[in-house]
Amino acid sequence: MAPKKVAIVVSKPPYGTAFMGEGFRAAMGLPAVGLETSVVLEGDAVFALLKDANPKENLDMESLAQAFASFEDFGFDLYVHGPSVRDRGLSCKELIACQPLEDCEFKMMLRDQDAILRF
Amino acid sequence: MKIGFLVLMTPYTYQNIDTAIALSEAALDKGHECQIYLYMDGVIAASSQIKPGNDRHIGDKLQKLIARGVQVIPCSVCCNYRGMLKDQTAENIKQSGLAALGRMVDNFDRVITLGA
Repeated sequence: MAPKKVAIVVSKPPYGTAFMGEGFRAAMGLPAVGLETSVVLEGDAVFALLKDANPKENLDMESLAQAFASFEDFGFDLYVHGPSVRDRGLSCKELIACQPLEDCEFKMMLRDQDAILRF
Repeated sequence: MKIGFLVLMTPYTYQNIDTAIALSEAALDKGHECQIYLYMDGVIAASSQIKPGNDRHIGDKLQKLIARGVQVIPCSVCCNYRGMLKDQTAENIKQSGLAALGRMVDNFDRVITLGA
C-alpha cells in the first residue's frame, strides 16, 4: 500500500509564535512513521527561509532557516508559495531553499494529500 | 469513520478543545471513532490540575470522552516545555511523542487541525 501523504502548511511568521517551530518539529517526526511529508510555507511564513536572518544574535532563538536547510535529511519535501515570496519583495536567491508552487500547483498539491495539518 | 483532532491552543483562552470535544461527542453519537492529539499549548487541557471553579470543566469532559473510547494524547515534548510533569497528567491520559500524531494521521480517515 502506498504511504499516506500529509502536507504541513505554515502561514504564520517565524519567531513571533511557536507555530513555525512546532510545524517544523512535526515535519521531522511524521516521515519517521512512514508518512510522505511535505511542508509548504505561505504568507509571512516564507520569511523563515531568509538566508541573512540572524535570530540567534537578535532573539536568542535557533535559526529556522538553518533547520529547514536540512529538510532532505529529515525526509520531507519543502515548498514555498511563489506569490507569497514575490508579494513580500523577496526572490528565491534570498532564501536558503526555494521550490516555489504557483497558486494552481499549490491547489493541486493540496488536493493530492490524505491529510493537511495547519500551523 | 475514524476522525482525529489536532488541538494546538490552550484551553479557556481559546475554544479549540471545546470544539474538539463537541465534535467528538457528535461523531461518537453517530457511531464514528475519534482521537484527540494535544500539541503546543493544547497539552494544558490534559492537566490534572485544572480547577475552573463554576466554569465548564474541560478535564471532566475529556474523561467522559475517554470513557466512551476516545484516546486523548498530549505531546510529551510540549508537556516538558510547559513544565507539565507526567504525574500532573490527568488519569487515563498518557503523554506520547510525535509518533502518536503520525499514527493518527496514518490510521485515521480524517484529521482536523484546530489552531489559532
